[in-house]
Amino acid sequence: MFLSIISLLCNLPVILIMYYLYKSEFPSARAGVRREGFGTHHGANCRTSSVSWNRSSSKRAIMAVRITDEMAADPEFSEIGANYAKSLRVVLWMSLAFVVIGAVLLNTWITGYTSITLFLAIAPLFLHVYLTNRVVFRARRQLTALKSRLSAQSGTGATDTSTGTSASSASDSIRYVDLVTSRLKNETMPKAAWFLVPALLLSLLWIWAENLPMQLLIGSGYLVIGAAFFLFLMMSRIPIKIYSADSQTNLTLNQAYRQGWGRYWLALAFAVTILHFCLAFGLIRYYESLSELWSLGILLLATMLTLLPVLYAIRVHRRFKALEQRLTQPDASALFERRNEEHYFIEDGFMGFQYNNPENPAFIVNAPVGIGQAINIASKKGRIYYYATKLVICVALLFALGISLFEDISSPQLAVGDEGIRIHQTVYPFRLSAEEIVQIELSDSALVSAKLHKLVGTASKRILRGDFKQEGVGKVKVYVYQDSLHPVIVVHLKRDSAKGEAQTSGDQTQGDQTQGGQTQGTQTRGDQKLNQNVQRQSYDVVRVYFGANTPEETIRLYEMLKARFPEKTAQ
Amino acid sequence: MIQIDLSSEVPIYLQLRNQIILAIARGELKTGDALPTVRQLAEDIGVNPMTVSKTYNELKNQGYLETNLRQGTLVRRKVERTKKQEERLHAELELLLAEARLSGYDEKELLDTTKNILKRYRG
Repeated sequence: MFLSIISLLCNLPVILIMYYLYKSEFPSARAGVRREGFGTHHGANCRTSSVSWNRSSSKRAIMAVRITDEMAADPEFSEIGANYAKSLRVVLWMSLAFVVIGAVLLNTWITGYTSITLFLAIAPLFLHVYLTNRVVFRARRQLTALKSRLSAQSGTGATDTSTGTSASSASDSIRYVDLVTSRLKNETMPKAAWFLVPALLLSLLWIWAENLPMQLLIGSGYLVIGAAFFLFLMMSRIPIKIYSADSQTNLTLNQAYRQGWGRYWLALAFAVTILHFCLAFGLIRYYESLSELWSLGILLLATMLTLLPVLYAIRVHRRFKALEQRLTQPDASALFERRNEEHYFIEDGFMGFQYNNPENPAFIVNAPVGIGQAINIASKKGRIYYYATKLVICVALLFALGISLFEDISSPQLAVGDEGIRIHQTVYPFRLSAEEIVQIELSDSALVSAKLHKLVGTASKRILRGDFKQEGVGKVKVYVYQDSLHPVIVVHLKRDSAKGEAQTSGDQTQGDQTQGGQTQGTQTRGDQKLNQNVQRQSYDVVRVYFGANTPEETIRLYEMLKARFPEKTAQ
Repeated sequence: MIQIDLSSEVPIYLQLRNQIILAIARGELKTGDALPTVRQLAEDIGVNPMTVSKTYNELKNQGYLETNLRQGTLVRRKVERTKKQEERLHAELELLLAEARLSGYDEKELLDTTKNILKRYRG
């Protein structure tokens, strides 16, 4: 149930927001709706394709294709819009269906396999992004083909490179620069020094960075803040855009754009810091034992903090578009635009449209679809950023899937040697010296009543592997199958007995005698505190649980251990 | 607003110089107005900063701009007329008028055109 909720929380908002954003790309593309405008309607023959193009709309470019009046009046334009809206709806329903099916499946035996669980959790989102991009690419290709056809018919000569013909590049070499705007463009942006605040706040977490997960968490925080800072800097270096012959209009719009997005990247850095504090709190609590209610609360907060920047980005985008619409005439701003700009956008299956213009020195430009910016991959920095991002996503996914698949397929092996015990053929290998081992026993019910909290490892309905915290015991290493009551080899280590002595030497020595790995009786408050103090001093392993894939194999291994360590296996 | 044609045979630094002088004469850039930094302008035009730097240096040498450590590059308070400048103006004007004559412009046309252009630079 918990996994299903996580899957729904992570996938649904992103899918719905994406649908909303991409749908608004074609402002009037609503199948079956007739609106006032100068668009045409397919009435008798096509019941659903009725699209209007509102002349007053500031959005004179769709998917970076500048729409001419001639195009807007063409019946094919209406059809493209209607098909686009229809395809997006189909993709939306398909994705929602996948998410729901995935969430249902995450409540079944499938969760016994981590790789399938991971796949079910992330596949709907990736599928949605990919399919949406396919729809967008197709619509854009249709628009450029239509533009090309109409241009050829009217004999203007401005044809499309994407269809194989060359376009006039006369206006591409002209650069308009407003000197006042150029000088004052970054005046209203927040100061770059503000980024030090979230970075320093995040550094406070080093106080609690005792373990690897916490260190990785802080590292990821620095990485995101660094990326936000880098994009903030790049934002300040975008060449100015000329909207009008009037300097004041240019200055106002350029400043508004930079201020809006500059604040956005700064806000993102702060949001990431708060999010990391929440996650760090969860992680610290997790080591101390975290209830499902706490987990859900932290997860909800984390989801909100992830969604807030997305909603803020939509707000920045819409506010700027509204200002742009108020201050400019689309036809006037078109005079200053590079005519062939639209031909520089190339398609990438998953990453969407990428800008590839070697003539433009900008590192980032306005994204042609959706909100935000697109990287100019023609620049060296842009290429590095683009391929690095793609590589990181691919490697992270393959790594996660590879590791989980290995854990699902492989079975950990226990090797007994003169120097001690070695557990291998797992992502969480472990080696024990003979001196560390205090007692080895075979138990049928070692983990039946044990309450385990995963620290670093794999915990599915089928297997438990890695570092866990066992309530009342401490940090334990677990390599067991959960789906049957196999006997389990329990290896007690020196720290386990040290803890036991500490507990029994206290004034209040009621209960909490661990026999065969099973907690018996109840702990007193004093014992718990003492226990926690011992655990805080060191999170080292106190016990190891090992179960082979068959009971016979486990018994055989125990016999081997008995032969090797007779004094430690004696009851 | 200045306009640079990257495909023109005229060097970019020269186009930029001419455009800045025109902007000052039109009144778009007033005395004491600060200009963008070399890096800013190079980014916006999409050229090497050295090109912009060369333009600024030339304009400083010719007396159109001055550098203030606190405010950066500014439009100079008053451009002084020098003998060298007069000679250059005379030579360029003579060549231009000669070309116009050869193209068939009569005196009235040339004067009218000159007056119309000068109207843009009044004040």
